[in-house]
Formats: sequence, structure tokens, C-alpha cells
Amino acid sequence: MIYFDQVTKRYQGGHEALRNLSFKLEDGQMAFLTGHSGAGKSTLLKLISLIERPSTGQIRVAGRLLNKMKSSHIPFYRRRVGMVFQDHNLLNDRSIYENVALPLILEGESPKEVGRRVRAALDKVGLLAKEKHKPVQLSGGEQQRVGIARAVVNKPDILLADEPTGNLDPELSREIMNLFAEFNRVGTTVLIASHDLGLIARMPFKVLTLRHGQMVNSPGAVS
Amino acid sequence: MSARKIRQGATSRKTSYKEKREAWLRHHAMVAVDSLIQLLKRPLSSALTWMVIAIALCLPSLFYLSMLNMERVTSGLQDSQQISLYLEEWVSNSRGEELATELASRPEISESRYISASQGLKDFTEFSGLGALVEGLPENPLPNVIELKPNTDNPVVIEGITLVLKGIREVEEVQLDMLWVHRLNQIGLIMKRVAWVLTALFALAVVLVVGNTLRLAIESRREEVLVIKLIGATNAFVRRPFLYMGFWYGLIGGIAAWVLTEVCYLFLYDPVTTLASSFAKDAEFVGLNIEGTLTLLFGSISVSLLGAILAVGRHLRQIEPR
Repeated sequence: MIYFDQVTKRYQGGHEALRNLSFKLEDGQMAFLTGHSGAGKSTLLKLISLIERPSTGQIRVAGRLLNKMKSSHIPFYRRRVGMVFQDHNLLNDRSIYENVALPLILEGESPKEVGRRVRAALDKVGLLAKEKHKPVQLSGGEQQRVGIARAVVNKPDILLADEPTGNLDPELSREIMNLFAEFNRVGTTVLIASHDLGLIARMPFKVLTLRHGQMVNSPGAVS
Repeated sequence: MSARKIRQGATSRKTSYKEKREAWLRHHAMVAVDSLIQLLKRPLSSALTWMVIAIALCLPSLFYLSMLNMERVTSGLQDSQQISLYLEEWVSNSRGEELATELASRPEISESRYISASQGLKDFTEFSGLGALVEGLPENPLPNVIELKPNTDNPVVIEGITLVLKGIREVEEVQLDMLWVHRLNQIGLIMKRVAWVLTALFALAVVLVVGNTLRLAIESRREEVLVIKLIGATNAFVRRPFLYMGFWYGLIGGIAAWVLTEVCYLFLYDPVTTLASSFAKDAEFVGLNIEGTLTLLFGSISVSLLGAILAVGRHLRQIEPR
């Protein structure tokens, strides 16, 4: 569950990226986060992944209160939040397998368990045959699927995606979105920031729209 | 993969303490090997760093070797608290020997030996190998000498004995051999201080070299550090490969320093042994023993690790996701 209560984020220099923002995403829900660039989408995601802290207000994610979380606890919290990035953020000198294995190695899983789960995740995104490849040998869409496999491999409570289809053509974009929908179907809470309104409109999920750092009323979006 | 399978995966996440520990050790082993591979992937720059460490540590260890050997030579001289009496020119051999016997009977003298001028010249010729030069001399420049060993180590008492001996009519000059041993010891002490200062400076150089090398390594892997921090890597996890790099720089640099020291040792062995044996019989130029070698390696590893810890602590803190 993601729960924002009266959250304001003011950056140094006075720019207010989010203003008195409140919303709620229930366990197992999937939602899109939209808005013009500068509306506060990135800031919202950064607050959830604890790259930034709110200036005021409360944020609760997967049962944890983020406001006062100690820095030393952040890594363990982040392992419960799978993140997918627009530019994939893969390690280019490692194989696909090693990239997807990273979260499991952080958790200290046995090599056997790592192997089993990495292959399951790669199978899920349809890249099992390319586990030995390096990221640069893959197309943009494939790299994004590797990013998704890495985000879901340790069964996070929440899946966050920041413009995951930003660099992909419509066909691939739909594939990627369908992949997220599949993970949501098995119980993962999913929040996707995207400005691909055409694609979003064709999917049966809740849409959260940001404008000037505030949530615009959309069906079921505001608590 | 079905939903059922996913749940299975989720339940198996509960790992025991033992499993965690095993995973931790396994990860350490993996990172250790991986960071060595990383270094070997850039053979030229790694080799340069290793050479710098080797040279920086070879110099203090050579200094240590020379001190060790000097101590060995001078410690043999320490107990020879000998007094030499140079006799007047007019004193005959028989009078000289008589005087030596007389002195030996005194309670404060434990031993005495008369060396005539001709005997002295013979000894000198033998020891120095300067026979031709000695033969060319018009006359024997050496005086008759009595060598005495006092019964005591106490410098004050010895001083007193010296004064008494100076009063003897046949004695021209009294020489305390202890004096130059004492001076030699002083020089040794100064050398020790210099060695410590040099060792400290060179160790600092290694800290800086390894620190700077790792700063560059961290900088070149900035993106990677950001990504794994976002995925949930702890600071310890991020630090680990860089600390292992510091370890490898230290270990291999230390081994190279040892090799370099041994090469210098072998190169110096003949001339130094020749020189040493002119001071003391069967003197030998000793090299690094096991203890010295281990100290060198351990020192090299600790100093490099220190450099790594400083660099990592300083630069990784600055790399945070934005």
C-alpha cells in the first residue's frame, strides 16, 4: 500500500514540487501516474523510493513510515520496492543473468536459489535464452524487460516504474505495460509514471493525474 | 511461471542465520575474486600501482636490512671493552712484556696481551691485504701496544683505570676502544630514527597512491554504485569490492616489494660481505628472514587497506541517488 497524507516537497531554493498531496493506492492495486513534465511525477517517485524526503506530511509504503526512516534502514526498504527506470539502469559490464541476480545476491540467497529465481524471472519476461548476453547486445525493449525482471526477481511488495516505455515504440510499449499488468494480476502493487496517455486510456487501471504538484480529481484517485 | 510458483519463491525467502552467514562468506569470496579480476583486466595501470608500492616499500626494507646487519656487527663489538696502551718508543720488547704481566696481576684488569710493533705490522698486513704497501714503508710506523681487558663494564671505573694507566712512565697514550663502539652505536641510533621517518613517509606515500587509485576506480564506477544503491545495496556492500581492491594492491605490491628487496640484496651481497668480513671474521650479510618478510607483507596490506578505507569513506558518501 502507498499512502500519502498532506505531503509537501519543497526543494532547496524554494521550488515546491508537491503541495499538500494526499492519495492512497491499496495493496494489489495498479495505477498510472500522469501529468506534464514538471508536474511532480519524478518527485513523487523519488519520495517513495526514499531518494528524497518530504518537507511536511506523512508517507507510508508497505506498512513502513518513510518520514523518519533511518538512512541505515533505507537499503532494506528499497529491496521491498522494485524499481524500473526509463533508461533501464543496467550494469553494462555484467551479463543479463548477473544483472537480474543482483537483488538476490544483496539478500544473500544461495546460488541455487538465485539460479532458480533469476531463470524464472527471465522466463517471465521472455529472455531466458539471452541470459549470457550483455545489455548492449539487446534492443531497447529487451533491456527494459531485463530491468523489469530485476525489479520483480525478489518479489517486492511494490513495483514502481518511471516512464518505462519512454524510449519504446507503441507496439513494444503495449507489451511492457501488459507485463506490468501480469505482475499486478498475481498480487503486486504497481505504480507507473507515464505520459503515454493514449496507451493508459486503453488499460483498465486507475489514473492519478498531477498538475502543479497537486492531484487532479480522477475517478477513485483521491482518498 | 504461474502465480503459485511466485508464492513459493516468496516463502523460501525466510533464510536461517546459518544460511545468511554462509551467503555472507560466499559473497566475500566472490567479491575478493571479482575485484582481483577487475584489477587484472587493467594490467598496465594495476602493474604501475603495484610497482609504485613495491618501490616505496623496498626502500625502508633495505634500510631495515642495513640496520639489522650493522647491529649484528656492532653487537659483537659491544663486549670488547678494550683498553689499548701505546708504549713510548724507547720501551723494549722485554720491558713491554714485563709491563703486560705486571698489569695482568692487578685486580681491576682481567686480561692483558703484549703486541710488539713488528707483530702488529704482521697482523695488519694479513688482515688488510695491503702487503705491498707495507713493504714499501721505510720503517715500521706502529708502536708497541698492550691490550687490556678491564674487569668491569662500569664506564666511570674504566675512566678511572684509564687515568691510572696514563700515569705509567712507559705509556705514551691510552685509547679506549669502547669510545668508537659508542660512536658507532650513536650512528646506529640516528640511522634508526631516519629509518622510522623514511618508513612513515613511504607508508604515507602508499596510502596516498592507493587512495588516489581507488578514488579513480570509484569515479569510473559511479553509475554502477548509483544503480546498486537504488536496488537496495547497503553501504558495506558497495564498499566491499573497493576494499578488496585495496587488499590486492597491498598484497601483490608487498610481494613485489619483497622481490625487489631480494634482488637488491643479491646485488649487494658480495661487496657487503667482503666489507663486513674485514670488520669481523665470518660476518655475513643477512637478508630478510620470515619475520621481516611477513612484516613487509602485513605492513603493505594494512597501509593499502588504510588508503582504500579513506578513499572509499570519502568518495562513496558523495555518490547518492538524486
